[in-house]
Amino acid sequence: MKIYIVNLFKLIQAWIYEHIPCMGRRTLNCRYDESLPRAARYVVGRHISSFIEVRTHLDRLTYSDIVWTPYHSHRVACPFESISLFQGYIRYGSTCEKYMPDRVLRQFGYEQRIPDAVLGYDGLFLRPLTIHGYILLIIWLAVLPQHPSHMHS
Amino acid sequence: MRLVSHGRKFNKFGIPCPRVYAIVENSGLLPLCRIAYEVVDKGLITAFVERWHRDTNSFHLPVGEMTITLDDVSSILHLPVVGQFPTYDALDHNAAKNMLMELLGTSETDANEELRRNKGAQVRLGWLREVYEQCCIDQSWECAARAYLLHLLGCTIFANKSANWVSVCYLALFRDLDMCGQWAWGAAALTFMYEQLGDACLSDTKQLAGFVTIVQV
Repeated sequence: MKIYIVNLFKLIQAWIYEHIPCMGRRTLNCRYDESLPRAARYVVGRHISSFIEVRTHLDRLTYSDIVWTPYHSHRVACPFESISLFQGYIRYGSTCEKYMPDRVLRQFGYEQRIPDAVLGYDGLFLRPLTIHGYILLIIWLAVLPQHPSHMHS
Repeated sequence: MRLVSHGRKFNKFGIPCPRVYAIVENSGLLPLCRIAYEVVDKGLITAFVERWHRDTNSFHLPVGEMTITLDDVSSILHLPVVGQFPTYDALDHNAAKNMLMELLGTSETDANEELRRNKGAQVRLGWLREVYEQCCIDQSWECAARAYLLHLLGCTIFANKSANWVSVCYLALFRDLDMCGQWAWGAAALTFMYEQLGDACLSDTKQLAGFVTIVQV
């Protein structure tokens, strides 16, 4: 069976480079400045990683290998949008996918707590797609003792 | 797993001509023009796909869960994440034909022939490039911009698995060119990405029997 990941691979690749700088074989683009999308920051050579090598590397990953919030210096060009903390379904056309930032709070500069139950698909079409869930998450975050490191909206 | 990239196809097109450029800029999709072809690190991506779980839509790593968030899409691609989710209706042959005639200004014969050839409400990326060039010659800039934008979507956000076609129904998103900046393209791109990752990680059970990767660029 052939499975396709069509394009947008660059999004995943750049995401990995941003968050786990020790992985992947890439160099920094010397002509990059912060006004450009971060995807333009990296130059990837012809050398690609071996699958087994990356797998082993991933198994040994430690907390200090991760850059949880890599965009501090990028905020002038691209301010943080609080909608990124929207908890619910994102969609295009008739395709819906679960979006649950409460599982990855460290990526938003918060301490990770036990997340809510995983969203189900049952109530999806009964529940209007509004920012309701987003407001709930904001309230939930507001009662956390941990202060956000880079967000105040 | 097979990684399909449309980067080279996109490079054939390049940056739009000045009149079209302004419209593309207004649509919020211009940053995609800057992220065309690059080498796919298949080993790296495959190893991460293996850690993807579709129930949580996140990578499960030894340090815990991580995922691609709307903030990542916004910072990495500069696509808008605030706005409305793009919505459109599925089209039958006649509706698709009318839409091509109305929004791209093609003749009925051309539209009919293209749709028949593809056996559905979809057009080839190569055909769109021809339409774009013709529109530029005729100086019908709105139609040229729609052809350009549909082509851009077809090789980035909504890339078709066949690597050659794009569905005509996305054209409805560009009906009003002044308003197409309202769509949250970043949220749509992320939805598409989650969907693709979810499909890809299902094949992981087969991978144990013999993992084969082909990169087609």
